[in-house]
Amino acid sequence: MIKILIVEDEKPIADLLDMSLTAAGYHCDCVDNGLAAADAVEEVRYDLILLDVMLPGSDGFELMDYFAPLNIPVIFTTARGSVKDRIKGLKLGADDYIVKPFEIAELLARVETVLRRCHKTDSLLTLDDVVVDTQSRVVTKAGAIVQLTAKEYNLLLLFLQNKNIALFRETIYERVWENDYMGDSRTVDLHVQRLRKKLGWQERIAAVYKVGYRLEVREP
Amino acid sequence: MKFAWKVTLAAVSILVLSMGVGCYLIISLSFRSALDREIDLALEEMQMLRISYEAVCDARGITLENIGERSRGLRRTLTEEPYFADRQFRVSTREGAQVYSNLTAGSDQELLDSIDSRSTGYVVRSSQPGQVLVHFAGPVALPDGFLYMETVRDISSLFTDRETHFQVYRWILLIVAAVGSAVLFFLSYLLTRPIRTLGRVSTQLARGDYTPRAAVSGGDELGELAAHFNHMADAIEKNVQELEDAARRQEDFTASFVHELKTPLTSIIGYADMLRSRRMDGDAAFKAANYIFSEGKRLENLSLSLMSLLVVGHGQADARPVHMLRLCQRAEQISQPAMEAKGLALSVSAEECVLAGDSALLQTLVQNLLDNARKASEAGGSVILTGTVLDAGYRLQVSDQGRGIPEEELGKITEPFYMVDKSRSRAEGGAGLGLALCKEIAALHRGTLRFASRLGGGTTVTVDLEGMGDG
Repeated sequence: MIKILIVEDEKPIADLLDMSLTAAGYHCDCVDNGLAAADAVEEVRYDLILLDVMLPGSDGFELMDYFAPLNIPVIFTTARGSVKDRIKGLKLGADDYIVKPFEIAELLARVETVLRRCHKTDSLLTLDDVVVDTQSRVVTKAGAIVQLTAKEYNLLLLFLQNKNIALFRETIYERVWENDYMGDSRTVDLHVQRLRKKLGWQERIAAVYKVGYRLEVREP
Repeated sequence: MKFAWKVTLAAVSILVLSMGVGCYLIISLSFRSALDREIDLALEEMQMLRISYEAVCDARGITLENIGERSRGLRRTLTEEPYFADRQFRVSTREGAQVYSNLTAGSDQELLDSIDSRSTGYVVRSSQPGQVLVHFAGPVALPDGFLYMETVRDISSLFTDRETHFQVYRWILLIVAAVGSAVLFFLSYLLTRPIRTLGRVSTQLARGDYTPRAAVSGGDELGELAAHFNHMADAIEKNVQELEDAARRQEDFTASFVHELKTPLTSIIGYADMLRSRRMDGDAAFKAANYIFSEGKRLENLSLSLMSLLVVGHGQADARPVHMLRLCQRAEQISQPAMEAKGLALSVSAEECVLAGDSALLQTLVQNLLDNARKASEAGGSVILTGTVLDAGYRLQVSDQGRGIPEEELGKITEPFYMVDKSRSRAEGGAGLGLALCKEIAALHRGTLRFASRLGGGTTVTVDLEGMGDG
């Protein structure tokens, strides 16, 4: 199981991250200061660290010096969204930078991406007889290759990263098309229809009334 | 050209010029006097010779008439007598007829023409290169008229001496110029060193490095200039420091504000997102909803505090008479329930005084201080509010026996968003703006805020208020 260390001094946010990531199938530990974070890293081999920049006692940027040699990927979570701060964080060796406030879907996608890039997760995502190779971007169903457009592929990835979570049409649009949602839902609906048909997932991808869609997976 | 070079060049020019002119004058004058002395000597000698000649003529009874036939005897006397034999001279008549001569240089008729029986004359001439002669002429008195005597003196040595003097003098001048230049350059280099130091330091200042100072001492103008310069550098450094501090405070404020704003927003958006997109069980849903509520409250607190801070910061308050005793009593009434709930004893003792101010703001000030005291105290402790009349104004004092403030934090606690114990403040709903607001309110009433605290031994806050302007 992937282990994630959450370094965050704001209890509500730490809980939020914990709940979201646990629901997505990760194991999470929370600490609220730099010293505890350093201790935790020595005891447990973490796969990813979510690091707040403004911490009591020490600055998250300073902690980077401590984490970098351990070769653990780090994602900064911070309210400091200036370009200067982002560059500073990334230059220090952070793998990504999430600016508060963020949406859960975005957080999960970024966590997933960083983990995959660092080969912490299997590059193969499997559900039923559908296998997605995230490295070669090839999708197969029962061994046969399924031809997907780039948007359909991204849409599939988004569903697989957010199992059992109702995805709002605007969230889907913003994550897949990387544009601001202008209120036109037909594009999203059309692509979801095509994906369902190509994968035979009419039942799996359920429509949520007035919201959007949800990939339903029965918990084991 | 460097200043040191200019000084050296100017000084050496003056030195060489003055030495040149001075020595030329000295050499010329001494030559002149030597020449005069030589001529005087020669004239005297000729005088003697003329008198001796006259004596010889007188003894031999020679007159102008008989000089023709007696000249042979006279010539013999003149050649035999050592006094005359040693001297070169010529004797002739007015018309130029030679009477006696052993003079190698010959006669000078022009000179003879220029004199008469009562005067002597001389002329300086150079018969051949390197030789300078003085030709003298003077009358010799005989009983019946005058003969004229000519003598010549060689004064070439005077001229060669002068030439030698000039030669030596040129060498001396050259050496003085060379040595003088070296010494002067060294001296002016030393003297202009403070200027170079100032130049170097000012370049550093211009580059934005405000720490270096001109290490120049001494009471001369350059020392004074350096002292003034250093004062100026101090002032610049101080101003720049102040500007940087102000900019940093502004930046810190913005960063803290953004953080304080975005943190609750993150929770609210995140939990709301979770609630709307996931099927959650009852406990988790309650937790999420509760966080949304509490973080929403936190945002509300923040906005209220910020509003007050803005209002006070812009000085938008009315000056009205405020009865301080009534204000303290009201504070007691408001705070009493919360104090009792925590098991704290609140005692208030205040003197009556009417102060010009905004009663709502002053109430906020007192309430904030009492709240802080309450939050810092443990059950069983006591909080004391006192109000004392001062010569000019009023003193409010709030003391507690709570946990105190670490000494190194005392300077920062009135900064907006600063929290000594962040998690505890958070838990009690603080946004870190209370004391910043108190400071602004005090400043509005021309007052000051002072803190005395010992870790674990309680805190005393003293507020001295003068009251608002003339109102």
